[in-house]
Amino acid sequence: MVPIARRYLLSDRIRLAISAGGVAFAVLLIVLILALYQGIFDRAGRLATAAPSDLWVTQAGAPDPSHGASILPESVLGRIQGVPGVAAAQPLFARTMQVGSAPNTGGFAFVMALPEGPLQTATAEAFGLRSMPSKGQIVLSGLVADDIGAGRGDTVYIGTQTLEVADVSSLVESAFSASVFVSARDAPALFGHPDAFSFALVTTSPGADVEGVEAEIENQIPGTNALTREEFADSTRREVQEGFLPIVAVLIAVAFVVGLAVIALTIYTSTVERVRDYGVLKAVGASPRQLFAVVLRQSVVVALIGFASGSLLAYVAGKLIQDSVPEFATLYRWQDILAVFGAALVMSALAAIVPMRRVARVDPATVFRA
Amino acid sequence: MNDHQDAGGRQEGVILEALGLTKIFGSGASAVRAIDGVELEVRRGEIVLVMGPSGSGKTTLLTMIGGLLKPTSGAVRIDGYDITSMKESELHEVRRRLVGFIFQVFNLLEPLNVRENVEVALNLAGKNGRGARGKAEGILRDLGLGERLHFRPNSLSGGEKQRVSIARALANDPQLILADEPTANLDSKQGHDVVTLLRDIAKKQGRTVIIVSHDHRIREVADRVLWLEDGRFKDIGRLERDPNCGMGIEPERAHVLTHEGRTYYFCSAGCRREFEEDPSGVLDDSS
Repeated sequence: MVPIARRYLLSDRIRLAISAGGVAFAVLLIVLILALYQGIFDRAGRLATAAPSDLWVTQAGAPDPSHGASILPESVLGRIQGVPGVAAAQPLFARTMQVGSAPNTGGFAFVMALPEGPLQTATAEAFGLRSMPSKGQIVLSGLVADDIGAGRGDTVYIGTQTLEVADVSSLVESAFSASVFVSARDAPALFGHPDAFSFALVTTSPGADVEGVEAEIENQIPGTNALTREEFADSTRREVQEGFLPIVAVLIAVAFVVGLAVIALTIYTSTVERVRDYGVLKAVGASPRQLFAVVLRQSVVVALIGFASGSLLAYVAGKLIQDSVPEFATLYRWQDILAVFGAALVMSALAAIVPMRRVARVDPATVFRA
Repeated sequence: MNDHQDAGGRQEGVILEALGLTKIFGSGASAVRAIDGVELEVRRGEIVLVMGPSGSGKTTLLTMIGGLLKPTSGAVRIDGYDITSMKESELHEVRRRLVGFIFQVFNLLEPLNVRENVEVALNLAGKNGRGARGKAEGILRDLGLGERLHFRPNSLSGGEKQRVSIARALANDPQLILADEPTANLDSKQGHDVVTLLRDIAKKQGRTVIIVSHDHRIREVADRVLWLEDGRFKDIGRLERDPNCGMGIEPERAHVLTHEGRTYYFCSAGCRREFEEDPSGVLDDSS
């Protein structure tokens, strides 16, 4: 079969490049935005799911590991351990604070401390901590170290408190900021609540009903909120969803409209320029459906070229962004790529509607005019 | 043969019938009656030349016969099918299988090569693959274009382009070929070749060819010449010929001049003036 649509596209390569470029740009934006969103979304739950515990216990109304707003009195820890089905409870200090190379400077980091406890070693390993910082020391994640230009042995500040960098390690990240670890002995003074901790990591006894234990903790200890790891991760992800999804949706919609407009305009102008050819095809027996197929194929081919090149560009751009701004995590999911592919096809179908209507109105008798 | 009818009421040997064909453009005071009650019957294998002045309705008639334009009233039957009663969605089948068009400006699709321009007509009729390709190549070779199969239309001469257009018209073996000014954009030699080709299509392949043209050379091969003027066929036997431009004209409406004892009839004052300026340069009256 003669590939009329392809020949029409290739007969004007500049127009093809412009239209495919427009779609590629739209796809690049959509894929990149989705990858950045998914990167943050994925990171948002990482701290919660990395913990070697079945349950997280937080202050009621503060189920948020990112901002570390939870404050639990020291006495709560003993009461948790007394709940039937609880095997061990590990306290964790956590709070988002400014970490810099000078007093009251620097970006925000998720500052954590692990006091002695039954899960201290397991939690440290799970969170990427190679050795516990001693009093007056701090372990930085690579991101924080790069950000403030500090290395092992340097002095850094949390507020006005000076700390010596004991190690730079790949620590588990929270949703919105990189992590650091300080000594549990410095934590009460740093966080300003000496007889309290932030979260309790709880493991259950073998055979215990995790959800039952979760409910029992909340029953027996008023003012607490017990969550499974997934529930805890979801609460952070929900914050990401609520904060970012509307913006992401608007950006994606704008990119979609840009792509749609570019294909629609280029296919329409191409169709108008070739109205006589469509008249000739009609005169030699083309049915309306066959003519529509010629228009639609052009639109689909443009969308596919744009999708392929846009996806590739998005991947490269994502890598470049992550290299230059390490705080930005990107995550490419095949579901998202498939959805963008579907969106590109929808884009091509919508873009073909107006040109198809123009073709439907072509009077084949016009081909007799000299 | 016209007197015999088959069981379906079709007249034996008749491929085309136009019955009271009328086309009015516009309405009210501005209405133009482009075709006015035309009656026409054309037999298989016949070559019919339709001549007439510009604006006489020749192309309108051709487009209605080919199912590209709906008449205001009247009917067109091709091979017994009343195409005027068909819906637009059915007419593409008529254009695919019953009729082949040849255009004045060739109307080849520039992005396609010569073979593809013919093959595309086969594709539209549902014929694809090697069979369609082979058939397109065969037709083009028969028309002397075997060396031009992969050329783009813009690299062909006018005569070659018109032969490609003829090959495309023949692709689906239509019994009726409709040609609109097929020699108008060709030089004398190429025009002659195309005329010869159209004659062969009719006489050797048994197809019917209806040609709309101003070209008097086509009269040589036509079985019948019809004169269309003001949307109606005129009796060509009653027409005088303008010795300057060759147009057939009614004596009572002509510009008349007597020269060296003979009376000449002209379509316009301009043609008469040109004749007066150089009587030796005019067409031979006997041609």
